[in-house]
Amino acid sequence: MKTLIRHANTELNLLNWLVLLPLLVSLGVFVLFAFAKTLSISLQHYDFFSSATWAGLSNFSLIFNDTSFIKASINTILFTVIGTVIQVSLALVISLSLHRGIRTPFFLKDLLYLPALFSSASMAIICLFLVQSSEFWRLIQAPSLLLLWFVIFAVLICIVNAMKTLKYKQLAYFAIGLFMLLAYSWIMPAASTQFSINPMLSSYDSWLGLTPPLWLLIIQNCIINVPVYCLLLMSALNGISDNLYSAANCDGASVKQVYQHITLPLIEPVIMIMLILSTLGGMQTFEQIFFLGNSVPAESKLTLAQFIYQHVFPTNGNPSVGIASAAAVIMSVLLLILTLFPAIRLLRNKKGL
Amino acid sequence: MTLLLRLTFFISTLFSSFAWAEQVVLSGWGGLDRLNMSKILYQVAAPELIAAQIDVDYTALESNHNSFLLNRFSSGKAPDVFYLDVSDVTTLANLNLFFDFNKQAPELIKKIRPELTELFTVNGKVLGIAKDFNTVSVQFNKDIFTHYDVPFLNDSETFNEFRYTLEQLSKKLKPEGKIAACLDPDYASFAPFVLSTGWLPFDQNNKTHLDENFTKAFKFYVNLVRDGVAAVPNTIGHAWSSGCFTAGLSAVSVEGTWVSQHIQLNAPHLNYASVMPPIANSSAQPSNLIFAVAWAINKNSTQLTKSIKLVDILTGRNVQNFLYSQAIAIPASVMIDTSVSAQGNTGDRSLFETVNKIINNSTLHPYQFKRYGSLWMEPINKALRTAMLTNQPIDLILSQTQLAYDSLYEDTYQTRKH
Repeated sequence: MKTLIRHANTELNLLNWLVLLPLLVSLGVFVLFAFAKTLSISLQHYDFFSSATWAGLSNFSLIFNDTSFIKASINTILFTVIGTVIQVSLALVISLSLHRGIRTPFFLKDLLYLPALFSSASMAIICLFLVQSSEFWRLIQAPSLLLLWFVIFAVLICIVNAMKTLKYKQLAYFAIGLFMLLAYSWIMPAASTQFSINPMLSSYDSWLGLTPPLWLLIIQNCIINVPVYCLLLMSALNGISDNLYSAANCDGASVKQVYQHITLPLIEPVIMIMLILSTLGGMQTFEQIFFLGNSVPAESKLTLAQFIYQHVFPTNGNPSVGIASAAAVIMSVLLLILTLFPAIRLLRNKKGL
Repeated sequence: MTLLLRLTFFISTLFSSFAWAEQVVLSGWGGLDRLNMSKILYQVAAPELIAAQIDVDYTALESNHNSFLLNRFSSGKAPDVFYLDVSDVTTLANLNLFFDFNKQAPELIKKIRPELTELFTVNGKVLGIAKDFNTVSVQFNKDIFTHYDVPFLNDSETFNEFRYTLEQLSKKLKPEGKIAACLDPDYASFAPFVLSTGWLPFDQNNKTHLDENFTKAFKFYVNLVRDGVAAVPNTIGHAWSSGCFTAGLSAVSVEGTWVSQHIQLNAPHLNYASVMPPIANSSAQPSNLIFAVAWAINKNSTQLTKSIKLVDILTGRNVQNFLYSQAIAIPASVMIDTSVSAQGNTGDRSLFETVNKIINNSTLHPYQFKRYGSLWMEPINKALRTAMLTNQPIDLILSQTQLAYDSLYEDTYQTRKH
């Protein structure tokens, strides 16, 4: 009997390994080999066409003295950290509200997820189109009117939401939305009454160290990623037993105590996964910047991924693959540092479980 | 039945791979070029291509063509025939991957204007057969000028006269949500202005010196925007000068002949005319840039004979005549008489006539920057962007730009050949 069980286990192990094999091969080729190759090229002078020559650490020394590399690194770190904090916080607030607090019509939850269906490229082009329009600039230029419009909108929605006896609530929401859109066109100044320049994307001003194009990318990432994170959080929140909340209620725990001692500790692994995913996405952001094209000054959208691309395929046709590889190695180290905290917390949580 | 299907699939795959192997892969830009190339390959040059048994696969690229070439050449999958821009010849020549027409197909060179062939010659090797060329001119919307009773621009405007005209227009256009001119913050548009002051991109020591002539033109160009007479296209929702122009937002644009295609597509009824760019003062010599694109051949191509024949056809009388007659580009071939007006509408004819005037009356500088390639333009482009989009002092911007050039000429890793 024991022999049979052992035999079955061996077969199962073999099957497991067979199933894992494609993944292991792809990890080996596209991660381990690729990283080793990048590391090796970072220590050489290489331009694709001539044979590589040994450079030692000179590529690293060169880029640390290059102001554009320093600028790209600072931009990338700020973009990643600020973007991650905003995305995770927003996802947390929305999913906690939807889960227990606000009574939401079901279709709103569906709508929330809708932007995640767009590709990042199409979202980049839509955002670019919107931001570059003079209408958008006029909207931003009149913040008090915009605020007033938003407050009225919110108040009307809350009133309808509070009216428990009202039938056809969804129709009422739709009517309010339509009315407010029309009201917007009445309140705001007409589009063609005066010439307006929208310096938004071309501006060299920065806020919290980030230029307008990078803020635009953070907004794009929020639109695309926050719904996905909300979905993850909602699943985690649904997994928390109601008994825990009932017990806390019996013990007289306040709302804050419930969140602090029950909800947040139980969804912490998901939050850590979100932090890791968002950091990875932020550090590797490339195609959205690429789609900004010539619409924005080159130096205000410089990130490490862009720096690497510009050195592999430079405009002067003189590739510096060694320099690009050195930058890629440093980017990996930065990525490791930024994901260290959530990864450790995640592992600790796993051990705790 | 399954076996039969498999067999059919195998045979069709086999035949298609053989067919692919016989094709000559041609690569160039996408957009309107793709449309024009389709017309050339399937209509204009089709009989010649069929007679020569050449099957062409056109690969159109929307992004950076240089990146594509580097990527394909480094992986050993380069196209057989491809575009070669005049600004990239010197730097790409280092790769030693291009076919030398001078040595192996000298008969093709004879058909092309010698001054254009010169631009694609590096160390005695002719690396490309020029297909067309361009200069920068000023286009203006005649209807807007007439409507506001502002005299049309002419071919001998000075900086001050040009500014005065734009100011007149600006006063009337601004209340209507429009601007007098859209100016791109880049060297290609700025060059005719700065070169007319007598400034040269490289001095006797092959260095770039931003002297008082440069400063004069720079201040003139930048102040048009700073004083609200002109605008940078990005700030009014357009990617380039012609975008504002065809949208009816601006009365004047500064572009090359390529603008005709954009106008034909986006504003076919636009009543416009073209003039030579303004000069620094009445005694200044008009100067301009000369842009050119050539067909180059991969020297390791497996279809070398057919590739040479294809370049021969693409630079032949039929295709070159088509480019000119349809007001697509100024052909590089000596066989085409460009003194005869191109077809197209009045605007297109005016544009092409202006280019002829520029070629005959201006000092022409190639859109080439020695071993630095397009990298050379970066400091000036950055200076223009900073000056036209911020309020930083112009003198400070220029001193930083001079420093950028000084460091460019040091042997940095960006300019050194590894």
